[in-house]
Amino acid sequence: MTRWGMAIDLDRCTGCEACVVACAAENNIQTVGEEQAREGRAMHWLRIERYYEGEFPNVRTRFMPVLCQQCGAAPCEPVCPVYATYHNPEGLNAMVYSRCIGTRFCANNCPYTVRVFNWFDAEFPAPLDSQLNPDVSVRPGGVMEKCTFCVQRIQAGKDEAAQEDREVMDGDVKTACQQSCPTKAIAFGDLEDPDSEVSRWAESPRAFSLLGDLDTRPGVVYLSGTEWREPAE
Amino acid sequence: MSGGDGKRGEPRVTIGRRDFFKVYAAAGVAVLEGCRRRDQELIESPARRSTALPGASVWRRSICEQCGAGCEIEVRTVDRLAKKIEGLPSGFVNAGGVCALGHSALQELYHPDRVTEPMRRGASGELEPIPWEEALETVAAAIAEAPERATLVSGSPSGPLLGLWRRFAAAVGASPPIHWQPTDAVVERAAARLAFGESTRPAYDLARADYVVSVGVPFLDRWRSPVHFGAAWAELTADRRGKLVQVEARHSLTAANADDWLPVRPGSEGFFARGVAGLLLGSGAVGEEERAAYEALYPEAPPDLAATAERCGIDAGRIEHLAAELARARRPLVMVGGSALDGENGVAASAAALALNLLLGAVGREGGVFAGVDFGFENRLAGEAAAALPPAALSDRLAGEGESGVLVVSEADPLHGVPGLEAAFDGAGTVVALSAFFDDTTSRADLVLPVQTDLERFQAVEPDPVHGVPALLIASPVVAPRGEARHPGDVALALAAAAGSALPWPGFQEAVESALSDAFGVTRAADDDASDPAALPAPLIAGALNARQFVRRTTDAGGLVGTGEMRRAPAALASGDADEAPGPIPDPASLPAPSAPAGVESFAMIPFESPKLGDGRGANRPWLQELPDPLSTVMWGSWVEMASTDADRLGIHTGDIVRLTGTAAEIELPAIVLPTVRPGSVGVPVGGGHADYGRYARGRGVNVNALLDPDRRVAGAGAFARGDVRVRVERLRRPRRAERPVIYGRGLRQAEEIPVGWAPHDGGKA
Repeated sequence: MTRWGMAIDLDRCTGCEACVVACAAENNIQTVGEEQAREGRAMHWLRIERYYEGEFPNVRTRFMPVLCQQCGAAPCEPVCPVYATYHNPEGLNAMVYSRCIGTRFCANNCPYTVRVFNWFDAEFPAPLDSQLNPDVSVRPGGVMEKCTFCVQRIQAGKDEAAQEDREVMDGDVKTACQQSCPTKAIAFGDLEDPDSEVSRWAESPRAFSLLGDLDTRPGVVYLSGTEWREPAE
Repeated sequence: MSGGDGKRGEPRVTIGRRDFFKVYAAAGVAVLEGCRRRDQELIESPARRSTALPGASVWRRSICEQCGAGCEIEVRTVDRLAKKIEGLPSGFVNAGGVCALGHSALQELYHPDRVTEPMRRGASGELEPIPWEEALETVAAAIAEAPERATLVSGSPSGPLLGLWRRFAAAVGASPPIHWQPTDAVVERAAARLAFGESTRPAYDLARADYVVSVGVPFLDRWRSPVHFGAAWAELTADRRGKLVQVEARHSLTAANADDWLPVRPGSEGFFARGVAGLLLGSGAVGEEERAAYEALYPEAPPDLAATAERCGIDAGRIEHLAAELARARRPLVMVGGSALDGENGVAASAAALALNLLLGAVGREGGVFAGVDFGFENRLAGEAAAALPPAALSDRLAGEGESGVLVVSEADPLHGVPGLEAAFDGAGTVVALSAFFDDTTSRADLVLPVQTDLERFQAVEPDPVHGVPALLIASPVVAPRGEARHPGDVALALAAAAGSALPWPGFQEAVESALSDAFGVTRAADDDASDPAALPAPLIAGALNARQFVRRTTDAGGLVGTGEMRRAPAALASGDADEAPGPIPDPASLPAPSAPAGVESFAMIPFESPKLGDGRGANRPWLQELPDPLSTVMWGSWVEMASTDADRLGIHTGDIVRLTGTAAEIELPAIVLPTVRPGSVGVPVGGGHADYGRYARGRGVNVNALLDPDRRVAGAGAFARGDVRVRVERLRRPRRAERPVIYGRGLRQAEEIPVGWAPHDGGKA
């Protein structure tokens, strides 16, 4: 069985945010405007966290792309009263938009703060709507959403492989963020396949899980040659 | 196929079996024709075809023209609408990557506030639609009436389209067009002329260097191609193979990613370069030849370490350490650009930094600096027409005459970029804007001619130099143009014809194809005579039987791409002719430091281009407005970056509204207090505060260009000086609700500053 996973090499990430816009373009993510953004209601599925260490002039800046970690033991799933978010057999925390009633319990329970809520219906003033991706539904107001690992691309990859009567191969599926990255800091694939690029990256001594001590068993692996762990006490 | 009656009064289309196969076959041909790809990968790649889709996806190759980088892209179209932009994996510049601005070209294409029909300002003062022919005749008549008083401004990057505007200006008898280009492009040429003896922009082989000193170059932010240089940076620093040292007053995204950041005092970059040269010369690591080449430029002794440290405001030990590492490196490289060259002494400062490459033997070698050569298609289209003028020529020209004649501005927004031009625009006879949007300039024009955006038009682009390999990239339109928008090159040709000075081509595409055909002829005639400057490198025409076949082959292949062998050092150096070697050049170490006004505390203001909005072009895209700036995390507006120590002293907190006062103007904007800002300086992004430019940009943020003095120039370059500006900073008030900066930062629920909690990855199993 496939376990979709992603690896992000923080040593290669410049924080340029090309991935953030690629994600918005691929997944029909609405922009909410200045007023709503000021209320903290921007809808990005993928964000770049920025951290500063030290003081001028010996200051360091670090960037960390944060998206749904597609946890193996996801805190968001058991709290949904209507099973709108569930664990699919391939390791994705899937969302059924039409089932969501907007309790936002899942967002409240996500330690990575990656779930976003549609406070209003999405607006794409014509002809901006011409750009919308026909493979991805536009979410209505009152519904929770988050990164899907570009599930529509996963499906397309499977369709393609099925047409050719073969298994999905490593590299068949690229997420939008991965495809866009100028420095190739993102790998995506099957964590169950020991030969896949993402598995090889995950085996790196630089690999770690974000907030790994929460035991959420993320499907996203981070790589860094410098210390991101909690300082020893 | 036959039509029939559907519901009452509505035609219904029924398709027979034979019709179906005809349509299907025709569609298949159209799809294959539309791809026009260089590699089969475009249709072979998985995830590209899906039987689940209601409309088939067709991927078409195109070129991103959001900046001059020339990134090659693939555009997914469904039902003839563009859906997604991705980098072409075989892209000459970008190798599969796309930046945030590049993605947003879709929102430029489908922007709800596009100009889609020609308009003229009527008696009521409002713009009213008019037919294209009438618009062209009006403009042509105004030009023909007094061509010597006509002024033409083109914002196209260097390349075939600019060449066509030059040819147009010469044909109608107007003065050469003013090339509205980034300051870097102008100053780099002037600096390379001084340091290397050839005024081509330097190209940098960043990926193959092992120790890179970037003097002010924000190449990961927005400079030439952040996609190319981002990839090159990743290659440089992979496995800690190489090292990047950023010498820049502001903590840019590039500085944030550098291994070392030396926050020199703004305006001291040239002095810094001379000081480092002194240390290198004294280290014994410099060969006699390199020393002689350098000292021919700078006969005076360089400043000593103490003076350099004092002037640059940097610890002497750090400068010494940098020089020692440079001397030890196998393939060192010094780059220069950005804030290092936009002060009044920018040319001298840049030349000093470039000249370090002479000392290091980095000119023309792998991992070094090359001449940013191209295939000369700008000049091929321009013919005998004079070279374009630098940006500052605009205010000189508008100020220098009584009543100006017609002013034609193509794809540029000078009223947003330079303060004080409004009156001159009002005094111009007729202002004509070729634009896709009502930007600050277009909204004041008397005539507006709608132009096509990237994906709607035939493209022929000579990319800004990156690694020194020349290229001409060509692409066909991806989607049909919106409304009545036309290609600016086609408009130029139609205007020339209407003015009675017709050029020999019906459209821009034909002009480019004609230039290709001529280039083939010249190259074939030159045979193996490599000295003919008009000839293309012979391998490019190998195998082509005749010009027609060569043109067809080139356009089908997406252009001409050179090889590594076509890279070269700047001509004067490559020739080895001592007579051509440049003589002594201005020494930044002998120029006075930028002075601060006495009596009041002032700050050095550093205007910078943020990665998302650039010079302001990206400001009309909602994706980019709502994209947090990577360093300040501000969305939807402008801000001023202040040092923690300065802010504490002035009682300023993040979000407070502060006033920045320059010599002639003042602006108010929220402060963002950061630990990364050099005390005594403030950073303000350009690109905000548009008077118009559509619903997402209008009135959003503040235009920092208002604080610039349009009379200050980069000496010897003809560019407006943006650097070395002093401003007073004062706190005004706590922000009202609508004034609060929109600061992103969801943060991790468990984390205060750095995300904590590390655990070996377990494969994500449930």
